[in-house]
Amino acid sequence: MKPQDWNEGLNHLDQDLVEEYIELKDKKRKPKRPFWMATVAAALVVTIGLGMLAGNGILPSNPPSLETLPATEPSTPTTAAPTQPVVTNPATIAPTRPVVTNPATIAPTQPVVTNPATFAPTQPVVTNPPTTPPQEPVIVPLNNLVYEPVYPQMMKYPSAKDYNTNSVGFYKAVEVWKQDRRNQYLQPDGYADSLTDYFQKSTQQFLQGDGNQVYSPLNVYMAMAMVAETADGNSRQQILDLFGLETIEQLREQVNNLWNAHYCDDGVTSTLLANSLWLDDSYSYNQETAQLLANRYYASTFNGDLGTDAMNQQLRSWLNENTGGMLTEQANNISLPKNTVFSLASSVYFTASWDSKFGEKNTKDALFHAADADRKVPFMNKKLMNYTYFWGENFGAVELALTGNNSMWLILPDEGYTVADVLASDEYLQMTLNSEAWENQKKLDINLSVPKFDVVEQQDLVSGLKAMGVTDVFDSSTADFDIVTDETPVWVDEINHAARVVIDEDGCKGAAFTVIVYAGMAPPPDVDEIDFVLDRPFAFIVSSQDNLPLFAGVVNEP
Amino acid sequence: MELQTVALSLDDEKIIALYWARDEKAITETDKKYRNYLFCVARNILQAQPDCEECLNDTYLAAWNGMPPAMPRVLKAFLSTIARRIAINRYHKNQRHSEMTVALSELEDILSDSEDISAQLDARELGSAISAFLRELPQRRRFVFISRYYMAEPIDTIAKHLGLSRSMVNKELAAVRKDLKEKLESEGYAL
Repeated sequence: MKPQDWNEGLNHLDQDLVEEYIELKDKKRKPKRPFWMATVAAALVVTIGLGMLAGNGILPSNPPSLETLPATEPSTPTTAAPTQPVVTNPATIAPTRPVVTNPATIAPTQPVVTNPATFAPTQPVVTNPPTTPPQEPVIVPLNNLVYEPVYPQMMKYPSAKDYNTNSVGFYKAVEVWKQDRRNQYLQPDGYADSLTDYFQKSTQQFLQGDGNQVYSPLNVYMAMAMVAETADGNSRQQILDLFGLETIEQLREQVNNLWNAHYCDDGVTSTLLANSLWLDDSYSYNQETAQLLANRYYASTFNGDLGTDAMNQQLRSWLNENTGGMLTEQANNISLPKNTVFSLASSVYFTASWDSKFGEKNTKDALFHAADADRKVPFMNKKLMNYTYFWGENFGAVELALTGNNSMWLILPDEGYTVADVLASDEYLQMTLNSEAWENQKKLDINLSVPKFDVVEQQDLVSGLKAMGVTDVFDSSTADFDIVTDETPVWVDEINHAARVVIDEDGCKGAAFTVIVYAGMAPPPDVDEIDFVLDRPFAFIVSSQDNLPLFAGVVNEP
Repeated sequence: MELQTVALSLDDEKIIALYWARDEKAITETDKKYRNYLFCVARNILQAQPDCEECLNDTYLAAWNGMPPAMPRVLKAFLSTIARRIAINRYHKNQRHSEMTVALSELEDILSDSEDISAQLDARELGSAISAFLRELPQRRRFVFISRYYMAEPIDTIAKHLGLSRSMVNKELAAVRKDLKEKLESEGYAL
């Protein structure tokens, strides 16, 4: 048998075998996230349910269904004989928006209690309740997708390989990339000023309670902005008021700015935002509203029988894909009620690595003094030389740099104060939003000790939003969603927000753990070296390059 | 909302739709999304860069001529089948040394090298015989076979991909060759 004959035979291999091979090949190829990455994801689902389902006969008997929205590339077949395309080598940069489907690789940290007796703690040392085994993320084909937005493109960080020995060419390409990033990030001065109030109010509202708390101010903003787009009259106005804006046009401008200031997909850092609109096929909808959400919010549109298992699975799948599988369990908790008229979902996925890693060897178990008991948990340690230490009325803080000019703030209340005390004032917010101008800062050597944590929270935002003055959308008698559909009364039934922040380490020397004590409005510390030990409940904020809070949370039980 | 206005790579369905609509963007999109992958397919068989480039262009052209009527379920598999066929043809033309030569030499001993057997077994028949054989294998072995003898991947690549050692992969391949030989013999192919 000659090789040619073999090849001829193999040419006739069944196609499904090749397909299986391709699938297996791709599955194995998925990159693993480096161990030391900080990984953050949030997802938020707003479901809008309808009232008086059967009672008033409002339901159309033979409802028209939403027509498929026009695709972005309407391609009309030509009648002429097909021309032979000229195949050239198109640009080698072929950016794709990565759909993140691999579940978070960072295992949740689980404190281990070893021989608690030797520490003679004053309080009992407890372990956290065992976490349930990680659930497989639901990933199903999104068959009911009727419109998919074209995401804006971002220039990729150039690959040195493409330039081989041409280092000048490479550095020029890096410069072009940098300029591209700068241009994108160039927002009007002070555009975020109106947001401060919202950040302050919402942080106080959504970070209450005993356990770990976390939410994404940006994610909630995006989702509520979409709700405002679908609402009218006072329903809309209350949301604008919450955001400190007067008109919907201002909100659109703001959303545009925020998107630009955050969306990042350049191959180095990822901050991926995604939105989607879920429509029930028993109703007809105002096409303009759907189109507007698609254009301005990059919302994918789905159309089907909401409330069925199949649609719930697709919604979960969409959430999993857009949060990197970090919120699998929370996504599984999402199921739309049968009477859902439409639903909005919004997600943020963020991953960046520490500019300077923590050394794994320096991670040591130590006691964390939670409100109810002491816990023995792994602490990451690092000496920060000549580093800026910030402080305020009742807290101290450091800002750790992440790639892409993002950062994580660690805010520790002074002894005798609680996290709630710190969050009650907007001092910490002023500090994080404008750290350069913050008066209370000093360069010191800081012995940082921070527990590894994996904080996750799922909460219903309805009562919090009501407390902040957004009430009409939740009440069937006042909610005004006529601009989406006027076939039936519609109100917002549930706003389900889930967020998770995980930090991990790698690098550095062990440092002594000592508790830093500052009381009252401290004078600048008159030492050159301090220990900054986050061994009691503390707050954190993940800030974007624009200093805006992407995530905010409280660690009560690491 | 980035500054660049280049569109991101499209879904396969959309790319296929472009082919069907006779829109030349289909080629650009295909290139954008699958260039690297198809290049690897060609590279395993052909080696020389200019050959691979040409193979890629021919692949796009063949895809253009093939769709319609073809409506592939998995575009990537469809394209790699074409790319492979074109690369193999080109390989026969210039017979340069490549991974394919090595891979094929491993298979040669399965069937005896007599003229009449080649005549007996028409390519399509052989194709379905191999397909049927592969279907009976465990998935991993099937993967190893296709990686090596269909895609001409180097042993190292396959080993790395599966997290196995080189010798383990060689063992798998030897086993699969033996099984294939037995299977073909039992089916009455005179060897």
